[in-house]
Amino acid sequence: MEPLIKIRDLDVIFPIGKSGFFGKPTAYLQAVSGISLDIHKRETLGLVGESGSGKTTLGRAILHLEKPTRGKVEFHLDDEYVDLEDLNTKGLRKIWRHMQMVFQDPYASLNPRMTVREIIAEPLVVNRIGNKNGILEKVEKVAEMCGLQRDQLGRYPHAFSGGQRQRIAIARALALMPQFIVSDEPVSALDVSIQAQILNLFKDLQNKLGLTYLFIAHDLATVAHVCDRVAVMYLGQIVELTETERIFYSPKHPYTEALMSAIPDIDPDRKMKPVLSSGELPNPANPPSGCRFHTRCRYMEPYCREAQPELNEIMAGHFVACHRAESLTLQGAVE
Amino acid sequence: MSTTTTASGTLNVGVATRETKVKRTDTATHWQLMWWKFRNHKMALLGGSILAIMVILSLLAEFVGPYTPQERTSQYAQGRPMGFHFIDAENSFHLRPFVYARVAKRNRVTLRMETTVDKTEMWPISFFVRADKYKMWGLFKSDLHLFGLENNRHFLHLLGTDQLGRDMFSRLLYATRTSLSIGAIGVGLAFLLGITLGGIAGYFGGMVDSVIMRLIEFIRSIPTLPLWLALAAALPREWTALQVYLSITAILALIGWTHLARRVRGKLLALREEEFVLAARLSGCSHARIVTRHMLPSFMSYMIVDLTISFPYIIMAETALSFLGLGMREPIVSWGVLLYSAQNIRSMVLMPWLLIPGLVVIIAVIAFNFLGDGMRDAADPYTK
Repeated sequence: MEPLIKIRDLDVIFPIGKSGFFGKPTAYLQAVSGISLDIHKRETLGLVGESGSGKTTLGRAILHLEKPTRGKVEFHLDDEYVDLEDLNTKGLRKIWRHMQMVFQDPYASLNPRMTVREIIAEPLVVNRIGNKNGILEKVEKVAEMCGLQRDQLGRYPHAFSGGQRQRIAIARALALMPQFIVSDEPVSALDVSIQAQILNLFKDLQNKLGLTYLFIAHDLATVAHVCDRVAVMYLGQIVELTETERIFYSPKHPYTEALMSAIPDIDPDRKMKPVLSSGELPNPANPPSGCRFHTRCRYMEPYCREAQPELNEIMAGHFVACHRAESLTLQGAVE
Repeated sequence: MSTTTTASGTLNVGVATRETKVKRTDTATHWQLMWWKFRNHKMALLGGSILAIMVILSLLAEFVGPYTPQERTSQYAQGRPMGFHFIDAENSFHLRPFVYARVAKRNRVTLRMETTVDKTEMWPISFFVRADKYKMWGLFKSDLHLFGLENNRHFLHLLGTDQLGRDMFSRLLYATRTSLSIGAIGVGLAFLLGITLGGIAGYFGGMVDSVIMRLIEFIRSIPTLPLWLALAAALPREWTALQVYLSITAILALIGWTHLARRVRGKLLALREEEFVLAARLSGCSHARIVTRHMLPSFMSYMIVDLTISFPYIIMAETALSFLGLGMREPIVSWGVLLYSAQNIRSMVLMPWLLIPGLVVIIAVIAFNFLGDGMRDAADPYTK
């Protein structure tokens, strides 16, 4: 089956630091570098990595909320691929009917000066979909799907808790009935008790509406719960990409192994052997040469400093960017 | 945060939380929340009321003041404030307030006119009397005054008179109108300039932003008083009072817009990356809708606070300029113009009541500061 979204050699580069009278940038930060990725229809693709690894930027670049510096994003619509690069502002507004986003912080993503009804209705109103009554009806339908009650719609966001605000944000994203939703850490700002409800809501909606998700997270338990496939990001690059089970059972990249070893175990008697990577995340503005992970890798060989590994398919559907992927035996999260 | 509808709720996912009680705050708009919060700030309410009274009195200056600003009572020049009474020398009460008669006599030694209070004669104060003719706001003619004396050979100067015998109370009302309106127009102009240039800088960023910011830094680096003096001195002497008034206001606004522009720019730069603005973009909103519907409302309250706080600066600047004789000139009366006549030591010693306008300036500035304080607290109604 054709993928819903094809991403090819995507780069996002930010100018940083300013000097001189009119502020010429002194340096550039490559937040996303050379990412190629396919997102299949009706799947949930997880995107994990540390803070600063470029997950959010990648999510926004796919929607062209952030213009990519180089590379392509193609969206499958009516049996042909639309290259988002070719679209002007108007074209983007049209394609955004099919691609939406749920943001991380439900306290920041809802305009405090609009009622819930106005918030959910806005995409319909600005896209001129249906008349007034039709819109109100649709808003109530979507709100109900997301677990909101009709009598709550007249209230302002400040009257709601984090979990319910996130329901409102999801309802807004769904109002236009999109096919694809980027969820940027949608539960990380919520209480743990609420997280499961929202995650289940995401699953329910996917089953009902046939949605495709790009699910950005840094919590691996969340990822294990909702994702079909997982891409691991490190310093703007994808280091491993495969099905969720394989990522957890048999990771092939040392960084994935390190991530898995950091999952806390419920059993207090079981000895935890975190395969900790030493040191901090290197400065993304000045990434290490060769393999970007070599500064923290336990299995580093001299040649890792020189050459940058490609993202190779070592098994069907299992992509790894490591020189030693074939030779290493790594430990998963679950034996 | 008011979390009336929290967690206890949804055990079954997708099933709505049961919520029967609706709190009043849940459906309150932003402005309602701000008002409720502002209401609790007693000093701000006081400041606001004082300013409201000032505005109303000065708007109705022709009607409230018993005299026109240029009318002289030559027999009572340099006259002391005349207190009004309800109880006379014989301890009997009069429902109608009155002032004691004044008798003017030339002092044989100093050869100056001196007035003495004649407690045997009372001049009753009447309300809604017909006296001097005036043209209300330059529009319609009338001669009705809120209070005054029926007998036109008598006079009533509640705050005394100046060197020429002009009624200080009436003049103060007119001056308040001038000074407050300069504040309002100046702040308005500064606001327009600030929001336009700051908005352009913040929304487009890049080169435009740099150019505007450097311009602002340049303007701010010039010492203000010499700049005002130079600009005010450059005004042609033969200009009419109205022209001078408008250009002085413009000069004050030209300086005042810079800090507003910086605030607007900073806010816009921050808001551009806010998630609800990104969400609005994704919803398909046009630039105009994003700016007017999402960005402007969320910092308008801060701008209003800024405006309230910059009000007294403009008023003080006008007062300072006029006091130095470079701002407004007669026949326009402003607080600064009134204080200009209280400049020398002689008038301060002999006629301390000429300093009353200074007191009014202080009260107004303090009232503005209290008001601004309360508004700053109310501007973000979501924090408790």
